[in-house]
Amino acid sequence: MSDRQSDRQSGQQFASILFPPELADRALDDTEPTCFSDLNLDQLVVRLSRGRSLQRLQPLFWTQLPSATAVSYRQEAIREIEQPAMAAVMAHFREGFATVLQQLDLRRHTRYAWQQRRCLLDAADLYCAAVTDLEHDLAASRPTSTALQGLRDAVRRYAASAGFVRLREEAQQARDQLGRVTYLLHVRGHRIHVMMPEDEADLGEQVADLFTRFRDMDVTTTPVPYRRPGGFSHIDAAVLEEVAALHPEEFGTLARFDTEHRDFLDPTVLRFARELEFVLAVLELKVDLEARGLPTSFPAVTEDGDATWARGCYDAALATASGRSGRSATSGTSGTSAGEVRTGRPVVTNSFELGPGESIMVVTGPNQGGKTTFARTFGQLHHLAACGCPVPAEDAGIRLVDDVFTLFERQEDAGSDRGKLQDDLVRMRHILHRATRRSVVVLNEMFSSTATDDAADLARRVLDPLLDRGCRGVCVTFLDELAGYRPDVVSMVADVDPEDPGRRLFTLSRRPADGRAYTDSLVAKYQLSPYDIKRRVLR
Amino acid sequence: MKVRLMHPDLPFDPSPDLPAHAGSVTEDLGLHLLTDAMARGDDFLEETAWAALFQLPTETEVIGFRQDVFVDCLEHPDVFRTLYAVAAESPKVERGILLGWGTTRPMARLSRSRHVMLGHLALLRRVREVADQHAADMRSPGMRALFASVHSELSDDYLAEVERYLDLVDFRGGLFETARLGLANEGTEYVLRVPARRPGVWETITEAFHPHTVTVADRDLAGAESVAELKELGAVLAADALARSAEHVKAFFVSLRREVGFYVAALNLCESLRRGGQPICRPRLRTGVGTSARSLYNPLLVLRGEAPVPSDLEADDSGLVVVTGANQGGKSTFLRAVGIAQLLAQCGLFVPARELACCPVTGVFTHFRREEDDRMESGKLDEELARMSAITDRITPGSLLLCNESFASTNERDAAAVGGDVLLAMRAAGVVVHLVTHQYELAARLREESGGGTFLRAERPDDGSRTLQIVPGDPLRTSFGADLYDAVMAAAP
Repeated sequence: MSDRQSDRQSGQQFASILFPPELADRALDDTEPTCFSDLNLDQLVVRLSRGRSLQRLQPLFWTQLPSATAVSYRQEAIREIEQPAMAAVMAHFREGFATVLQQLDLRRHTRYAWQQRRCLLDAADLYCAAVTDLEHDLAASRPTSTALQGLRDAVRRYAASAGFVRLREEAQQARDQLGRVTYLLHVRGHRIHVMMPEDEADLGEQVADLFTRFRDMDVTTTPVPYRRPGGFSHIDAAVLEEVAALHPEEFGTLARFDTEHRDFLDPTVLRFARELEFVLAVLELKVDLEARGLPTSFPAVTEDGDATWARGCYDAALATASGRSGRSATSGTSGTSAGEVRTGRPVVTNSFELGPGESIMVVTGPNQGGKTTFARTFGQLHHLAACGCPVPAEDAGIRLVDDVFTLFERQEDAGSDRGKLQDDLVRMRHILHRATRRSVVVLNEMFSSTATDDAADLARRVLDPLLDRGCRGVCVTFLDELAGYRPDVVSMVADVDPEDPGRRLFTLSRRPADGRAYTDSLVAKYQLSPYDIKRRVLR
Repeated sequence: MKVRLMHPDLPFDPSPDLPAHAGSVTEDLGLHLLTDAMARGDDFLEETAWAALFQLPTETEVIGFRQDVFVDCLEHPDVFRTLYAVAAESPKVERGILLGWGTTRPMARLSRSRHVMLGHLALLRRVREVADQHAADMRSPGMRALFASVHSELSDDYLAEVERYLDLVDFRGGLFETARLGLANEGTEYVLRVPARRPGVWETITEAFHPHTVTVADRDLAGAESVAELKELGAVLAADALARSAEHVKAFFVSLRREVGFYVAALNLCESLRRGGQPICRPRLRTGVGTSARSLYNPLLVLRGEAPVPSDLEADDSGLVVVTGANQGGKSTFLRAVGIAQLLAQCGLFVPARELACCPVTGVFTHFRREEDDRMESGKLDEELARMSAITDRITPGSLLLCNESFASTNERDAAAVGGDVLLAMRAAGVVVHLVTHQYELAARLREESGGGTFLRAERPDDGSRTLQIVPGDPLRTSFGADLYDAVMAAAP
């Protein structure tokens, strides 16, 4: 596929719907980012790869895009494919292409020459139909994104190329010829005679005709399908050889086709088919989330924006972890909308904003109050945005990251406190080493194994360089004194129901840390105030 | 080959579920005794009787059509009983064939269908014999048409042709099938073929030298299995076709058994009633509303071996019949007799009376006081009204509603108010209402406000004994509970 005119227009020629031409040849990351398991993105990717090749999709989900233009190239492509008309075009192509791969797969697995040849023909035939339809459909749907315009032009050039036209014509000719072949088998004992048919009557039909006079009321008979347990055998192959001998012309055409079109798959088409799976997986996730009453959006991604913010964001992995639910509810106090997971616990949405001069949110509040979920959400938003994907939020403005670093407490290294602290510090050192002003850090209950004074001091020592560098991030902690300890630290607190302090709302508010308020209300609820205790003990 | 003995143009389909109110109608009218007499232990006949009792035709022509067939049946019971017996053989044919039972393999299914067909071929020949013998005896259009079609559709030529094809399905000369090439050059669209000519002696000798022959080696078990599969592939469509054909033939016998069985069941009932010395008559069906009868009796008493007390009823053009009178004065029995006569007459059968004229109704509904009501004190009216509400969901204008002591669970005044409202509204909606009640105020209100209707009383001669006869008479304020009390006390040891 080469076209000088197109080269001149776009600088480089179209190769991918996911990468602009200048990035098309960049290698994908081949290992999972360390943040994936902490953010539960690994589960999410597995879930949305269902029915697809996980090995092919994973690298695309692992690799962050290096520029805002690359992000918008991909966002535009995904958004356009999301449109119902274009989605139908893509679904049709996907279906057709899957059958091509099926036949090629069968070719690799059979050992009978006439079957192998026919599989190649079938695959080529299906492939030509898929490409022709795609060309037609893309032209008719007038794509607007750079990616799909590039695809349209590339497919148009390819479909008009001499090689493709010949492939299509010869495939059709061979298929038509073989389609006309019929043969008569006389099966008797251990012999099968293969003959040309001579207009013998259909036995089943004849019998049925004989009994039509008994048809009055409808009878319920269901045809019983038969699936031969053995499949295509050496006997079938031998019969096929005789059929070929009876029809030398048709099978001659097939043999010629096979030698001339061994490698008919165009690399650009193949790449498109694989990348389409990524787009469809992403869109399936979007539909799934929306069906649960949860918003999604394509974030505004900048390279050097001042603000990082999201409205109505939530943990996408948590939201999809349970069975489907179309319900949505609005929680009155915070005005956030929420999908409901099967456990009955609502998926709560939150909002946050890091304005100019603000870098890291310190999150405090009651346990099980949605703090860790919020931290994961923050990390997910940044990674997914950097992959050009829609994010689990109603609306978001995200600064492009070069990396997402996470530090979550590890269950497995439950050794001595000293061992744990050391482990935390080792991992922290790695982060401090690598984090830049474009990095995101998600720190969850770090140094929780140390005494409070120590921990606060250590935490400040870790946070200071990150803040100085201008990293964005979330730090979940039980240390109230970290909340707002510097002007670039924003304090977020997990909410409880003012009426029933035992009930977590799983929402967070931007306000100063208030550890006492929460414990006071619990005391009141359980009637454990000194007065109450006196009254109850003395009654 | 259509069986049309229940309707000049339509087959009788017993499959629709009985209507939701069938249960209470059955219980209230005591229909089980009736269907037992019809079925005489034959489940198929019982099922047929139930279906017929709850699928009442409303056109007088259809009812007359059935009455004509039934006259043939009364005059030539042996013809009907023989036809029924032949048709009843059909399920036994299939039960006798163990081969290929429950299998999904086409060759086995094909073979099974072939045997089913051969068995039915014998039955078809017997049906043909009966028709040939008795065609001249039949007078009803229904039976004449049936025998005419048997004669022409089951000709000797036809039966011979069927036999020839069933023979082909035996594949003694090998199996012929065509196929095309599908994806991956696998055979597809396999179709069994009728060989253009049978292989003769010459072919048998030379077939080993056929130019395009695939031979399975002696010990090639996988190859032999594969050949068997090729046969199975060929047999798929033919197996379906033959199975479907077999179903059609079986369905013919089911229809024959069903529709002839209906008259056999009716014959059974009539024989039982006659044995009890009671009259039956062909009812006169007319359009409009109302029933009139001479010596109408409840057949259930006869079936129980008791002597019924026949009553006359003059309620032509009357959409409301109210029977009042003494407790245990035979009112309920009379109401049941009316309901059963309506069902039988509208089925196209003879009725337990000397004479009877009635009009088709769109449905028969019953609202009887339940015995068990006495046990649960609270919520009785609640329960009664719930049942009345369920009836209201289903009842249509032109239906017959038989009420036996409805609203008796409340006091006279409430019964008159609630019951009166309900029944007058039913009347206004075009429902024919028969009410039996001991509640004077309800009856009196209906008398006053219905603007017509027939009012009857369970007759009580002056000597205080009961004749259990129903005669015309306005509601009387006193009931006869005191009599009953006395009678019961006197009978006690």
